[in-house]
Amino acid sequence: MVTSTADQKRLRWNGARSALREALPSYLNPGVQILAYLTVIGVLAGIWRLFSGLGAATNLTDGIPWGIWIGFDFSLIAISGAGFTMAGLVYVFRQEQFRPALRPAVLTGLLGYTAVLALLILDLGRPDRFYHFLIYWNLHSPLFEISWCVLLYTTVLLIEVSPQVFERLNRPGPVRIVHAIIVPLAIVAVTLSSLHQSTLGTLYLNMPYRLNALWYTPLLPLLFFTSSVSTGLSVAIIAYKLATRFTGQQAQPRVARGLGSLVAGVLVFYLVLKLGDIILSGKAPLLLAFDRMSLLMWIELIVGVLAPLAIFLAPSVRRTEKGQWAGAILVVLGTLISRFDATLFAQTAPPGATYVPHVVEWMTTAGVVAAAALAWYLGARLLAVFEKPNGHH
Amino acid sequence: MSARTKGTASFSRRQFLKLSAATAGGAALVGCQFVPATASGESIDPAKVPGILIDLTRCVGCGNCQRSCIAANDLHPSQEELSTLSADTYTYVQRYDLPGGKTRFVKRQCMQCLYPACVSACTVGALHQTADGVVAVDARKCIGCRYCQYACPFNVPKFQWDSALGLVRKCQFCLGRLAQGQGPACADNCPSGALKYGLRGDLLQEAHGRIAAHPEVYVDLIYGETEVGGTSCLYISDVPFDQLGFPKLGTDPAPHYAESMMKRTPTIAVSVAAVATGIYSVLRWRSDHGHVEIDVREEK
Repeated sequence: MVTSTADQKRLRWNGARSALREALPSYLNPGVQILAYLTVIGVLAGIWRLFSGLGAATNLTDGIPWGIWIGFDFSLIAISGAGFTMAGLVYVFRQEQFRPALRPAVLTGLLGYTAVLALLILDLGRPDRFYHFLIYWNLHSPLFEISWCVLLYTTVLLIEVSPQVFERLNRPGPVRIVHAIIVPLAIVAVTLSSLHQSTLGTLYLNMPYRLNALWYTPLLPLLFFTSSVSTGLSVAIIAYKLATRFTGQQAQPRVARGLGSLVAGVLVFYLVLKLGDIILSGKAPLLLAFDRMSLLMWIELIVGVLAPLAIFLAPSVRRTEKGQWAGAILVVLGTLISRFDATLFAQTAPPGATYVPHVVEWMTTAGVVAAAALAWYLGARLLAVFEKPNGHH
Repeated sequence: MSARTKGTASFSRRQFLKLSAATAGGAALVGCQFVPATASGESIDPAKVPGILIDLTRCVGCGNCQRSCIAANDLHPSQEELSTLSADTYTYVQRYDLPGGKTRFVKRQCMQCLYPACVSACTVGALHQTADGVVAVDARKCIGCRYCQYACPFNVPKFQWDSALGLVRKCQFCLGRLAQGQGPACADNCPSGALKYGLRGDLLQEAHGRIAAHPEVYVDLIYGETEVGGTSCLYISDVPFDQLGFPKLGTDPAPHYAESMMKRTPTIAVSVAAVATGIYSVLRWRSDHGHVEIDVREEK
């Protein structure tokens, strides 16, 4: 008995090793190489930043203390919303037709949040004290709540992703355990995500004298949560398409089409909230002023809401591969713009304060994102990123 | 919703719901012990907080306040930092050459809000209000996230950009000197009588008295009496405050907006978990009892 398990183990490892040796050349494509170079540069720049301090490694100042790290960080949190939206859709709302897109989305969520944590630590004045929020509590602080939720939810995502690893290693035991608790786990995921995605909006409520009036509204928490849903679903579309492409699987057209319809629904809700709030609070003249701030808001709305809405609402376009790609990418782009507006462009900085990101900021940001993308690509190719037919329940 | 659902899985769901409610409630209770009781200024007597009255008609711009601040707090500012607030300049005197040949000097420092937004925002509770009502930073807790810099309506907290391990620093009203029965270094060393240290209630009375005695000189406003819920540093002036770079702020405490959302956190957590559990239970019950689940699998 003992020897046979050992034999099995050896066989399994030998099998994995030879499979790896055969497959290796196909991993060394130009895309992977570029991502690997960016990762290495990012890691080196990150190490340099950790030893040199924020003044030397960034162009941030007391006038503009948050830059592209925070901008990409808050965007990445919305992008990583792919995990909780798909888990909620499949396990809470029991929409089985979307199950094929679940695992790529959850993998995206896990790697996205890992990138979020890396960027957050880079941004801290005292990265060595990153754990302080565990010991020193301030329940009034949005950032305190976000820190806790991100930590807890990343743990949940680790458990949610684990079957993709265990299935590949032919370990049915852990897979069964995760499947047994997957529904409560999905509910925890949805709860933690609802909290911190909305609290990212609450974070800006502490800046009534800094954030431009077109953005500042008590609805910020709801707006941020809503956009995390539309962004998460759009990212799920992209992740599904890429995963089918990388694994050579046939994509089911109804998955992306169905998700596209859902994105359209959420975008309509977002638009009603946003425009309704602007009109009812008497800020319509600000939106129609067509000055710098008004144009910023229009860009945010056109790129992230109106254009993808036009795509996903038109059945003939929604069915096309190009339409689905364009719609999903536009939503993600719009979220990037919206998070950067709130963090940088729509902020009233003290007179004379300017900010152009330092090259170290760019290198580290690109490195973190490239590392996550590289890990995702390897994950999609090496892990069980699609469930076996009838493999669930 | 879920409590009424009678179905195969409802018992364990209800248990789970209770568990999540208990967890959220428990976390909130545990957390409350870590939050200083005075986090949002509620238990502070606004009249008893130590403050400074700054009379701009009496300031001659000698800079003694800044020099004594630097000495008292062992700061090491560069030449450029002397004319701004920084992590090594807790106070400075700003010069305004006004039309008509008038010159006024405005001393800047932490306003010592009664409802400090920085304290409310601080991720780790490093910024806190002492029992006396002084807003201070605990350097052992600060992680340098710089959220306070965005929350402060007066742009006061500053970061140590030149340090490899930078923290946020600001005027702490010379807490050490206060403990020894002295006033803040700036106020104690002001030669012109522009700075007066005392309890906020007394200072307000004094300020109202000076304005009433010379209504032809003073602007009829004490800046800091009502701004963002009140500050312990109070200004009176003969020149309108908007000409001297004072921001026009409302009377609502600055942390009011975010805190009104944050205190709903446990409610949101429990509601979302309950609704999600309810939706799942209903859908599960329907499919277990032969109801046709919406399934577009056939559609191609």
